[in-house]
Formats: sequence, structure tokens, C-alpha cells
Amino acid sequence: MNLNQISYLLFKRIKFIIAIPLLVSFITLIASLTLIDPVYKTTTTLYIINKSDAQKSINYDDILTNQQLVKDYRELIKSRNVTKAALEDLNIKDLSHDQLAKKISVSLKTDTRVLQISVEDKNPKKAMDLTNKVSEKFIEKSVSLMSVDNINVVDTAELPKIPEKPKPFTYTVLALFLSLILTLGTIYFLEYFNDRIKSKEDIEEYLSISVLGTIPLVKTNK
Amino acid sequence: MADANNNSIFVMNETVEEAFKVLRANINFCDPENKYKTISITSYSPDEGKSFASTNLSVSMAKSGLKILYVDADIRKPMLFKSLVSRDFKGLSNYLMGHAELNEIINKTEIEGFHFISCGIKTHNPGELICSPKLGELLDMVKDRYNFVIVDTPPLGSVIDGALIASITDASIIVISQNKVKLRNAIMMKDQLEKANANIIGAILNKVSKLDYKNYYGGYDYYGSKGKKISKLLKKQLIKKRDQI
Repeated sequence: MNLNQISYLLFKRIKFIIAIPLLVSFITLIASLTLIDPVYKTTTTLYIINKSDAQKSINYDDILTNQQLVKDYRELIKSRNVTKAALEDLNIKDLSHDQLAKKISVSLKTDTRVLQISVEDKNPKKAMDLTNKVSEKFIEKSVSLMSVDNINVVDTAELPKIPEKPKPFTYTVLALFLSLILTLGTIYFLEYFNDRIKSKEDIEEYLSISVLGTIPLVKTNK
Repeated sequence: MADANNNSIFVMNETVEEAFKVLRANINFCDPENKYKTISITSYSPDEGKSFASTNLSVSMAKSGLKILYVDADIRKPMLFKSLVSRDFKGLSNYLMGHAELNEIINKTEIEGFHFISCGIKTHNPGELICSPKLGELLDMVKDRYNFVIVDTPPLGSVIDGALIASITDASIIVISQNKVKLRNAIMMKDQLEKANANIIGAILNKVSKLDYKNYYGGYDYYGSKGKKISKLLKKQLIKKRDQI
């Protein structure tokens, strides 16, 4: 297909190209506003200094080490040891330590040793409490777990006002683009695999029969 | 000769009429020595517009001052769906069975030079009737009376009649409806016609959507195009400006 044919094809199917993405994004918007319960996310920020390098300045290797260590931190924070202790402290019964581990996400701010611990929950207060408690227990047990005794809390978790999920606007924009791409793709493929005779050129090229006339479609009153 | 009043199907818009004039002219270009007297019109599937194309082609030819006989050889399709039916319902099948004379089944119309033979009554053995030599004899008889004999046939994808008729006519034209026939079926149909020794002089691309017709096959002026008008206006404006400068 050359550019002309493609643009003509798009022009012919313009109704679909406009209607389908709009419909999909509209449905997404409605669904994200009504069907999905909001989830709140709170974050604490910790600063980790290893015992060994408390005296000297930070160099690039330390940062690299930390990049690798973040995986360890993540596992440790999600460990039964920490999560169980946090749940017991808060006296939460309806949550198992496994479920809590799933709600926790740990990330390292790029090129720093600043660690962020987040917890997501449908209840904003519960999320805040859990985040703070998990961080607290992690610091408490850090000495015994990884012989790091120098973790400082930079920011404690605050009560979130805006839910982390759903983000109707983001979802809608995403749905719009995705459905647009899919619609265009489908139209192209349908055209590509359509082996029905569509034009004068088809007849002349594939059947090698000359076309004596083309008759437009007329509505008959039959 | 019987008279039949079937004027309703020949009410056409200008664009379609023009399309048929082009078709008529192209058929004449194919046949500079006027060798082709009988032309069969075939297609792969039903409802591609064979009857529409063949009747309108006949009428278009008749209007250009020729004498045309249109023969409806699709004796399988119920008369209910036909646009050309003679008053006494006698037609080709009656003649082939020997129940009617040739003159009885040729109908005049209000259009000068356009006569037709309708399909006739439905029979239980249409296949055998089409095979019978009587059809060839009929065509031979009417050849000399008319400039062209246009024979409408049943779809080739369903029955073999089309190929049989194509083999006894001087030329065949295939009607292909846009976006309907799969390529391999079209190729199969062409092979079938070639096996039958048909002389395929060309195809008609039928039922072309308005948009395609506008963009590819002309007919612009009739459907009218805003774009063209606007560009004309712009040109006028530009010319005015240039003159002022």
C-alpha cells in the first residue's frame, strides 16, 4: 500500500476511527469513576547509611552497592518478621502478613541512598498507619537483620487526600490512544487480508480482464 | 409481438446513465468490425447486478439508435424478482419447451429499439432447457434482426448455465460487484469460462460506492463537490487580486 491508498483508506473509515476510540475512552472514564474503589497510597522516606561508610564521604560505588541492596531491603521490609510485628502493633486482624507484603512497595530514589516505602490501602488512615509502622519496625529490626544501625526517617507518612488509584484522566487518555492504535491496526489488517475485488486495478491485475465500465451504486426501490 | 410496460426500471440518474454510455462506447471499441452480435452477461454470485447492468446497457444502446434484444436466460430465478416480465408470462422457457413461437415471446417496450424476451415460466428442468440446441437456434434467428442481442445469465458460482450460454454467444462480459467476490472465486469463474471457450471481452465493475466513484472514476460533476467549488472560488479571488496589483 502506498501513502495515497493509506490516506484514502483512513478517509473512508474516518467514522470508525473517530467513533471507536471515543466510545472506548468514554466507557473507560465511566468505569474508572464508578466501578473501581479508590486506593490510597502513603510513603515514608528513609535515609540509609552503612556502618562502614559513616566516616567517609559517599562515592559512586556506594551508590551502586545501594542499587543492588535495594532488592535486599525490599525483601527484608516485606519479610514476615517485619510485617507481622507491624500488624500486631496496630492490632489489625483482617490482614495477613502476606497480604500486607503485597501492599508494600519499596523503591530507591535514583542515584541516592534515599529509600521510599509505600503502602496502598482502600482506607487512607490505615495506609498511613501501616506505612509508618512498617518503617518503624524495619528500622527497629535493621540492626539485627543487616547490621545497619543508621537509618534516619526523612519524611513520615501523611494522610493522603487524593487517591492513588483510579486516575480517571490518565486511564481515559491511555484508553483513547490504545483504542486508536488498535482501530487503525484492525482497519489496516482487514484491508490487507481482504481478498475481495475492490477496484478496477484488481480486475486488470489479477484477472487480466480489461474493465469496460464502472457503474456507481444506486439505490433501487425494490 | 406483445407489448410490455416496464418503464419504471429505466429511470436513472445522470451519473449512472453516463457510466453506461462509457460502457457502451468501450464495448464498441472492443469490436470495431461489429463481429459481436450476441453478448452474454455473467457474474460469479447472485445479486451482483447482472440484470441491472444488462438491461441498462441494452437501453443505453437502444437510445443511441441501435436495435437491441435483451434475452433473460436466467430461468431459475422466480419471476417475482424480475424487473422485465411480459404480460402473458410467456418467455424463454416456454419457447425452449416448444410451447411458444418466437414472435410470441419477443416484447416491445416504450423505448424505441429495445425489445426483450423474458425468462418465462418456472420449470422443473431448467438445466436441460439451457443445454438444448434450441437456445443456439434462437440466438441465430434473432442475430440478423438486431444490432446486439444481450443475454442475461444465472450466476456462475451456483450453476453452469452461464458458461453454456457464454460458449454459444460471440462475446461475454463479467459483472463484478465491488467488495463482494473473492479473488479466487473470480479466477475460478474466469477459468470456467475459458474452458467453455467463451470470449471474455471485459468486465464491468458494478456497485461502486459513491465515495470511490467520486475519487477514482470521475462522476465528480454530477455528485457535485464542495472542495472543487471552494478551490474555484479561491482561484477567482486570486485572479482578482492579481488584476488589482
